[in-house]
Amino acid sequence: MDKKKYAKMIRYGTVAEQKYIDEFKDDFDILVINGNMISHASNAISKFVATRKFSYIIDPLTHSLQHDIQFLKGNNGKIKSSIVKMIDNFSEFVKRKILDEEKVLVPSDFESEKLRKDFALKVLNFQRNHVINNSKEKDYFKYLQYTNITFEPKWLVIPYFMMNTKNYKKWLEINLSMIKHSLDEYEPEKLAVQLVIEKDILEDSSFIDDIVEKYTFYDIKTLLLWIDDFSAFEASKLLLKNFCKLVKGFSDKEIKVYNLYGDYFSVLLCHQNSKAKLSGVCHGIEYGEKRAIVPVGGGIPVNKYYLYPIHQRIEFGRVATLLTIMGILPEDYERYYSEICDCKQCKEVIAANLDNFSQYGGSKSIDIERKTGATVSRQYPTAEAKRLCIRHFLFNKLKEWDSINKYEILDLVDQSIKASEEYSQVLGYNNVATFETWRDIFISMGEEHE
Amino acid sequence: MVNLLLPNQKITEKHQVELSEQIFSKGNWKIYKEVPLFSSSIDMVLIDENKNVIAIEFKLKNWKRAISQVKKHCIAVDYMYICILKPKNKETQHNIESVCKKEGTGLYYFYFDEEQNPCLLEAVKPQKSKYVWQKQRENLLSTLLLN
Repeated sequence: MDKKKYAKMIRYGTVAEQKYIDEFKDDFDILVINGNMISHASNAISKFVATRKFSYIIDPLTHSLQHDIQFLKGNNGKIKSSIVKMIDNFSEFVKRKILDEEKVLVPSDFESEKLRKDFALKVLNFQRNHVINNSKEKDYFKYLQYTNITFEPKWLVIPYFMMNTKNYKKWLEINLSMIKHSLDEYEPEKLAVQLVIEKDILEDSSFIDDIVEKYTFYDIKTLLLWIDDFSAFEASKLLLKNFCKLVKGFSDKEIKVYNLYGDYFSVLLCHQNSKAKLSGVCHGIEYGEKRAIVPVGGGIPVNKYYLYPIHQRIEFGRVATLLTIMGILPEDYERYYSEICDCKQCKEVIAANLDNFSQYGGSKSIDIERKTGATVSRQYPTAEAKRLCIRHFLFNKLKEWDSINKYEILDLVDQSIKASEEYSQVLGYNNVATFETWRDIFISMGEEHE
Repeated sequence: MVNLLLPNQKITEKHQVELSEQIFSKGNWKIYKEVPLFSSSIDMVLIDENKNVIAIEFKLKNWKRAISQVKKHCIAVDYMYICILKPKNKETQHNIESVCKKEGTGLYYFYFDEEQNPCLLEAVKPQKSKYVWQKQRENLLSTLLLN
């Protein structure tokens, strides 16, 4: 099989995560950085990207300017400095509305074609110039300028706004206009269109037909997809089918589609035989296989272990219980390696003593005060357990990428159904039903066993 | 024994735990409350003189949920109990007891006697957990005994 028909993408979350991206830099193809993050830690990230010679893109997060202004504010009630720094590169009317008036952008702000064009080009320029402008005065620049490094992102992301069935008409027209103005100035190969939609769009296939028709009217080559809080493990059959229909609509027209927040289902859609063809999937270093458009609170972090046979992060305690009931814990490390995971991290930490598996669950007690004033203790992952879980997750994602080069889609789904059935007494039956749904969808698209 | 409830005051789960703690404190137990384990916590852990680790999950009524919660801890403890308010209906009692026996979970009924003293009745004895991962059990035990 041709192995390089897809891009493995990874998202830069926080500066603290940089060391993991550095460690795995040769394993992933594209680094995705949010515009506010690179604005916030400009020097550090610019140097990191330039000196590590990453192929990267910057998501300008223009959708964040259309939601409630509170989402742009920090705990001190002021617009976050990272947003201020990012917007400083955008059009004057955007700065005025967001920073001075503390009002979000609405469709009527874009009535003038001149303003639309100015907005589109300023957002593109911000991405194009950010790293080079922050590198010019630095020591490393003089060494790198004689290499082939352009310092520019792989693609410039055309500004975009989120659409749902209610706001569709207004924002669609503006989104399309952003594409038009961008294509007037740049080659299509240099640009990426970002499509950000809420799940209600996927409930009505007429919207999908319309999106594909309207977007493909333009000469676009690359489409980045973000569906609000969309997980193939949670989605209904209808949503999954329409997700595939959307991907297929573009991929059939030779447009490369990349899911910006995708789980194992999206990896399977990168298989060379997939009828709805994704060209890449992005996730974070341990999370980010789905993401809500509007930020939601995170809660207390818990130790989660990526259970490869069912391709999901599961609470450590549940996995440990499962493995104990299966008779793998506490001693059968050979069975663990053959049935559960034989990644580099597991071999390093477990070796020949499966008691070491407990290190994935390493935690310390913290006291949390409830609203009632009562204090309760909760377990909080130790830094070392977090490190182990992150590396285990990344090695497992690489295994998934590797697997689509070796096996047929239905064989891979069947493997997950088998594992889910085996685990169902502890983890419940939903996983079996989920993978069976995936199977039905792939079959309905024409996938066959070899 | 101090009854923490005022006359006619409705019992809460918190009272149930505290009054049960008073009762257990008369025995040979080391008692720990709200013991964190994995991503949740055990309402109460008792350690007996043989260092058996016993988890108790308290609920006023929702005994099915109590069973499901306490069983999450099965790999780290030797015995598991639920503790609920004693149902008045005999048939309900019988039903709960038979499910607990089937699940291997012990059952304490919490009630007040005629003098309004809080009492615990061990209605079902637990079976020893079949799935103990000694490493995890020892981690829990040593953490508790250190405190």
